Amino acid sequence: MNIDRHENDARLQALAEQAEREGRAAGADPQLDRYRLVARALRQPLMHSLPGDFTAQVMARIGHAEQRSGFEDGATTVLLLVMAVAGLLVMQPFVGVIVSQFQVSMPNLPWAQLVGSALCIGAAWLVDRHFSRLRQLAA
Amino acid sequence: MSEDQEIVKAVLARTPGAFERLMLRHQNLVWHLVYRMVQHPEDARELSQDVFFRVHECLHQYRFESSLATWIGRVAFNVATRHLQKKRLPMVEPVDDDAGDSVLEQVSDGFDLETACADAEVMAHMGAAIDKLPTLQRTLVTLYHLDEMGIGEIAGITGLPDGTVKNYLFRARQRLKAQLESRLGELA
Repeated sequence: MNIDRHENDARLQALAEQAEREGRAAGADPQLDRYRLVARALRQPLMHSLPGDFTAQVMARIGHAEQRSGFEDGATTVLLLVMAVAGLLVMQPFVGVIVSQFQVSMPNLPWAQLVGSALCIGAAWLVDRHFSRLRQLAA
Repeated sequence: MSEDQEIVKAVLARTPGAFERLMLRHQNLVWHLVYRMVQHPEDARELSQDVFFRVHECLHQYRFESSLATWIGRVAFNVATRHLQKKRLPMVEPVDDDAGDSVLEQVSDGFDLETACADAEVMAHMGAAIDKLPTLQRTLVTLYHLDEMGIGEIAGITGLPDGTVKNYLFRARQRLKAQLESRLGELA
């Protein structure tokens, strides 16, 4: 393809785009008009379209995936807890011996009440987190 | 706050209806891009769902470095490209330097733009010619002419340099004009 032809086509394409944008009358140059027809053909709507309920389909898929991910998160947490408890039970005889060898002087505090309070706060936080997640899913 | 920022913030805050609004605003772009790339309505519908699913999952990674349309377009382009790669379909075909040449180019007398546009056969022929363009050219002309995106935005979506986008657009139009001329020659 020679350079003149390339430049001429580039010029015609630019002019055709401008003429279409400005809605100018046709007929001045058949070569230009052909590029205008090409531009019009390219603006034609596609033969197929998205289904009317496309948005609903995507939202249903997202909701389903979130529910599944919530269940998987919960199952993972439970599994980790079970593994941690099992690990502690297995380690308990050895850990008990090791710990008993330490000489630690603990301050004289109401440890039972403190640990109990900490557990209550932790449990309340977990319940709150769980219900917040449920509210988000419902939204 | 820009419209993009407002809608992204609303989606991330899980505001009811926000993601549906985002989809309604961008679903034409996604559909045009994916459908023109894969050319299979069922696959294109499924892939369009994949695109929005990904957008929903990854929206927190959007950093407002480009417009939201460009970012979503890039997700769609990547999803469709991966689909074509899986099916081993080429994105780019060998360059044909004579694509724009037509021995019938001089059959210009009597060409009337409005008559040709009103001629269903001519327009159907052009539609078929667009479908036969190489995938990348087809995608670029769709983004430019149908979705009215700028060269910079198209470059952002496809990852191509601006000059390459312009060159592909030029060749695609030239090729379509040659197709039109051969059709007019047949009709003459």
